[in-house]
Amino acid sequence: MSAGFSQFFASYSNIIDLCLLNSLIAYGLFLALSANMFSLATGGFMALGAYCSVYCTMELGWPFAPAVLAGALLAAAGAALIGAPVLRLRGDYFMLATFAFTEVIRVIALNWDSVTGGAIGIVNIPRYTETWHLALAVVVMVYVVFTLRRSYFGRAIAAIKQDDVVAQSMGVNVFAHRLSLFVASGFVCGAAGALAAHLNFFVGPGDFGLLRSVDALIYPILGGVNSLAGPIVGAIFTTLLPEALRFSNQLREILMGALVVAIVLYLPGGAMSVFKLRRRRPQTPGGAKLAPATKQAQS
Amino acid sequence: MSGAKLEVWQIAKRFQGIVAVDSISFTAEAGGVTGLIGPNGSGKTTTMNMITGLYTIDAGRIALDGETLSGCSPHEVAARGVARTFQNIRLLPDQSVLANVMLGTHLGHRKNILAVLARLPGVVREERAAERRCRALLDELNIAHLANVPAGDLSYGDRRRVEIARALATQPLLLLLDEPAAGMNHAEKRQLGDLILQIRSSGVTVLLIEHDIDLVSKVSDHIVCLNFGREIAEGTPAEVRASPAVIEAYLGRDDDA
Repeated sequence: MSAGFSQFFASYSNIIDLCLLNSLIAYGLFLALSANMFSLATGGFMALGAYCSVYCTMELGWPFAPAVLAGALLAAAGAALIGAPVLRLRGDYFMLATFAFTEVIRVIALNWDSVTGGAIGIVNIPRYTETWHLALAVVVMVYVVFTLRRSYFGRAIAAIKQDDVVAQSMGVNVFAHRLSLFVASGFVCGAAGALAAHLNFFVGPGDFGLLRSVDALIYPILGGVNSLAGPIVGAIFTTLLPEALRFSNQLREILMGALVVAIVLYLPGGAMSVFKLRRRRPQTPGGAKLAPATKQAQS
Repeated sequence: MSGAKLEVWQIAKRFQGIVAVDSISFTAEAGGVTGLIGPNGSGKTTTMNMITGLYTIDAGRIALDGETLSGCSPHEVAARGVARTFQNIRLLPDQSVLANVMLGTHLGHRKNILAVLARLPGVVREERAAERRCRALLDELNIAHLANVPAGDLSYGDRRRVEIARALATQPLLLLLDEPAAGMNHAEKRQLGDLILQIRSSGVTVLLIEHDIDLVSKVSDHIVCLNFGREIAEGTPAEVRASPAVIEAYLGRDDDA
């Protein structure tokens, strides 16, 4: 049994690592999306985390953990810095501004040869990231999201998402909440970037562009932005599907695109909302519960 | 709990040259119900949005218990003890009634995100106390049996109650009700009147915007009537109802006389 498992793990460990890494990124985005922030800054945050942590381990000789922390903190600082002006923007403008941030970071990475290795990138990065690091990070994120959702903070965020006028009227400082979520999102994406860099032996400016940011948005949207498990489901699905469709490169792009469109059109709450619908239906005889109230009101 | 006194001095609001509120002054005495009436477009809701900080005021001053309120952002106004309901009910429709009302307890929680993440006993206790308080509120408003129903599934009158419960959950000193009786039938209006008097007796100052003159007269200690962004009459319900300016605003001038 355990031999079977280790064999399975040996042949699939790469893909498992990738699933976990993408789940982590998906939770980073989930934080932003939970307050309606469609952020394209993920690539920029990951680049900050990756280059910073690689610099710490390779140039400064730091141990792995503080290097990852440094990368995450730098990305969080970047989020705080751009968040203050950018969060005042709405919808499309916010997206454009965060996209611009990712591009700026990419161009800096491309040109700051002494630290980032320029277009060639940095090679021979020690492989410090273990599967359990990634798994631990995902478990921590699940716990954080789960706990926050049951608190005053989660209620405030849910209100901001649906109606920020109501949130304000109930005493919620909308800007502060959105900023703290954006910074948290930067921290998680930065950590993911640091872990990714020490997983792949290599980082280059092409790793963290627009494509990365869009992919990261797709995970939670596909899986479900209202469900705790949504980001994992979306990330794993999006990671495994291309593997399953290896036989045709074109087909997999088309299929992914079609799938995203279908989900947005028919399941705006993401794949996990299927379960919610099914669970709510038997409850609808709660209409019977409603009856006494209406009667009371009319009496 | 005792209410706060609201004072409004010559506040004005223009939207791109259109004068919504020209100059309005009135006082809502602590612990009383003040009715704000007037025809459509007379500036009632604009006034409420200025009090709650959703609109900045172009002129004048608003004070709560003598301290300036104007210039505060909405969440600061809420923190000062001002709660409101909305003319077009604004609940979170897919959340339960209890969850909606719990949002009102936001200000009562100690803001410590690390304690929340660690689920420290203090946090859990606070959360339970908030839930108990909200359930008691639902009970007072006769909607305890709806606690777990999504707010979007409720009848109109019940939704109004949930909104009022949510506002009361903030433990306000001043409660602003924006046309709470709109769309209600007679029985619901009567219940609403009783509810407002019940809120008054708990000491909260109430500012009631309403079209239904019978309801306003029944519950208000003092009525202010607006028209074209100015106050045109003020006084006890009987005085205001007898005022020629008010009759003219609502029914038009009698040209034959």
